[in-house]
Amino acid sequence: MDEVLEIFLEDCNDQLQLLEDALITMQNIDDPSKLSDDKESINTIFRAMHTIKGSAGMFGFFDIVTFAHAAEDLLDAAREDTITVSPDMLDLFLVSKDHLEKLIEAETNEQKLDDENVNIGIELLKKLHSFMPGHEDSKEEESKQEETVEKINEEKKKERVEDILKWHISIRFEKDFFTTGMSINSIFNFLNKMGTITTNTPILYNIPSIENLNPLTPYIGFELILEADVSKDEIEDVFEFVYDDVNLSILLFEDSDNFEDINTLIEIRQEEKLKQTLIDANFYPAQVFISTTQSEKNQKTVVTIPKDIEPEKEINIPQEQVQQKEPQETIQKESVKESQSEVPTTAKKKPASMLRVDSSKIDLLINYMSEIVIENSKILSLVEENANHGDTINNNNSDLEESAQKMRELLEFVRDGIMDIRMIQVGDSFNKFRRIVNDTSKKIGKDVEFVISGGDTELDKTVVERISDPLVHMLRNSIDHGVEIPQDRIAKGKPAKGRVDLRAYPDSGTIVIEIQDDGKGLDKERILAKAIENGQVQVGANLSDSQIYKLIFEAGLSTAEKVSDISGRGVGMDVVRRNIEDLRGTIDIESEIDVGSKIAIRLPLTLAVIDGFLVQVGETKYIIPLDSIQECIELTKKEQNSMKGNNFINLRGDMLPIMDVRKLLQEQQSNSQRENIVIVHFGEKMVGLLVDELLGEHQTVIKPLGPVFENIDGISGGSILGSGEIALIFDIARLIEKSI
Amino acid sequence: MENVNIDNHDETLLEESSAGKQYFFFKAGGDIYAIEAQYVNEMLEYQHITKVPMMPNYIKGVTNIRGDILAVVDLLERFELGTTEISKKTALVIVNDIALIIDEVYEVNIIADEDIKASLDFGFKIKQRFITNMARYTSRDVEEYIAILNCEEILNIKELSQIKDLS
Repeated sequence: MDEVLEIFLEDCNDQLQLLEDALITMQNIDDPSKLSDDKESINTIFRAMHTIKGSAGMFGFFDIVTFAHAAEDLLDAAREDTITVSPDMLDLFLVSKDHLEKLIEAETNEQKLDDENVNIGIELLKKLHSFMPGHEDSKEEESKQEETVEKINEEKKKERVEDILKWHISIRFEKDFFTTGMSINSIFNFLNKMGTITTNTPILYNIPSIENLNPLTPYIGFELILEADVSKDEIEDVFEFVYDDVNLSILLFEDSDNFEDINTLIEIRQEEKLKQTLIDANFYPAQVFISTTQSEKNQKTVVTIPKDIEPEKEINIPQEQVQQKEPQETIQKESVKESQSEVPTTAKKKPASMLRVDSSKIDLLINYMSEIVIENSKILSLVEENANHGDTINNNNSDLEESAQKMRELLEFVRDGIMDIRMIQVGDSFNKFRRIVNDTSKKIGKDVEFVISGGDTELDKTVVERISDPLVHMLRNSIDHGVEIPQDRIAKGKPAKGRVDLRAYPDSGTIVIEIQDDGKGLDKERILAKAIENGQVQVGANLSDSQIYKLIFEAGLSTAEKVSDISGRGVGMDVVRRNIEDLRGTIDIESEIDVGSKIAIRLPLTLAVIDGFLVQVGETKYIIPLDSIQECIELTKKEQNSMKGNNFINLRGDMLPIMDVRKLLQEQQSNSQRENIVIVHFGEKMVGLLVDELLGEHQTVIKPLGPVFENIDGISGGSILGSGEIALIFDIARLIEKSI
Repeated sequence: MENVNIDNHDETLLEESSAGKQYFFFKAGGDIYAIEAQYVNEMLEYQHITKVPMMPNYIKGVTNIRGDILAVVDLLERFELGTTEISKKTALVIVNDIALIIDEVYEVNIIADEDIKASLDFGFKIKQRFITNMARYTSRDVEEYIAILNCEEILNIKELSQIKDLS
């Protein structure tokens, strides 16, 4: 896809999300009569719709424009209280949002909508119009639909004639204006789009003689009268990208405060003789200035006289003012300086600066970063070698070593910094679930309050993206199976409205995401019975509560009495578990009958880096994720004998099953003198992995092995060691599963 | 690490002649084979390979190519003609992000269209599905028919990713 189109698509998606969030917020308002009072949400929806319409218009996507326009009209009416917002209307907007999404998708993929969706669009347009005040003239309305966009826009301009305001815009450009890449012309184009520039007086005062003229400096200035239905903010937005490089004053005619402002302005621009220019160009009648300036000046004189005595203030006088011949010059200058800092219109608002970066660029950086780390560790080992060979202490060598060490520290900072770029807040992703929760609960007649907390918790972008589907699934389950229908809840003495919590928080180097409901809780007996029936658990097996709860993540295990189209087929929860394990996450469940259930997912902060323990098995080096390691012990000959051919040892009184990794991986018999056991835990299980050698801790960047190795269970990737050699990373969960 | 860049191998070869395409010639198990040059990403000296368990014998493991992990396939074993013996001339040829172990890099040259013949239905020691065409090849006083290899078939991911039967 074209880069510009991609930006358009991203923007639209952002706006659609804002729109949906606001709609859901409104849906959660209990009292329908108060819907129209939520002006903030209505405005958000309106703005989002307006932005989409605007950017679609820039690309010539008229289907989107027409549709968004219809929705916008209705929203505008809601904004102005000419219609009352009803829950039906919110539903219509939600469906319209979905349709808009389809339209945008079709346009950006250069596809046509299929007939079904075209019809949906026509239906929606009709419905949108039917809500409009005075929709009785339905025939007229329908014909309106078919009008071209231009006509609609024209009409809109006409409708709003009464709102048109008269603005005085004074523009001067800073020396570096042209380096911003913005042209003066495009500013005028923007302004012309907003309304009509009725008066345009260029200020030529600052243009020097030809020999002093620098062609790269914009000497010109403009005094404009713009008649348009816009706010001051909207005019300022035109200058958004060049805010620092223009000197801007925007004044509203017919505004009582304006007189003061205009006098401040002409004082700043005194050397240009702005006052006369403005009077000549019929901006203001001459008397506006005379009366007010006089009084202003008198005031200022009083204030500034003491300052005038202070010599250091004098030095600060801007040079160009020396040319001035007016008698009152020093006083003037002081007041100029003061007022300059006071002029509110020149105050620059700087939005939090954000940068949108293609995440593949960051991945590339991470790749290079790990290369650099590897090269640097090569340097370190060379330095060490040198030191060992030299008979006397070599000064150069120790300097080199110090530099290399310092370099390593710095590289770690850089790496952490890069990793940090990948972190995003989970909130945006969580907010998308509101709609799903709303739709789901509505569909099955349950009343659910959905509470999100910890939305500002940061997590690797990839993790956030990949955790989204599993979370949706679990949320649906909580609503469908967890929360009871209102009658049952009342019968149990609980509030009729159920509650589902979704929260995220950091906990000792990991991120925990919890889904908690106040529903009926998990029925241990039923789950166990079903698992036995399915043959997943042996009759008479002695399972702990948490082991039983975890059975809900097994394939084919649904205890729902009837299958709904939301959940209950027993498909999905096993996929959820798999997805979470793929992210190196773990799941914990707590539940109490009639109190509720809580599913806690623990995820690593990032997928890209792993703290591991390096071991040797046969010819190959392996990395065991450090967080799954309990301890390492040596397998002595004595213990080996006491095993008597069994695959378990007695560890401080407990039986510990031992897994011979070499056999599992079809490696040669060990030739190591000292065999070692790495005790790992996987859920509640503890297993000892028999390996040849322990090589120590290793922080490492995970790299994929590629499609050739996708069928190997128990190995999740590779990592490049300091020597350039590759070590394979164990996927402990799979490895143990495989051997059972 | 000595990288051989095809493009600079021989200036005169840069112009793709209308009468034929460029091919990369190499030796494996004493025989000369050809791969269409456009499929070859790069050639490098043989380097350390990390064994990956549970894979078929012809998958030798993985190797580190400037920070990327690539699978390594022994071409001779893939042809079921024995194992490549590692020597000073042993090279890795990167095709489709997989490294092939070969005995020796030979040259990059053009095969004229009229020298390309359809492969025989049988009669060649490597499987017919691994061959796209046969070509008459004359170089360094050698004149013989050589196989132009079908890389897609040789490096079929579905086949390569089968894990070894545990029995």
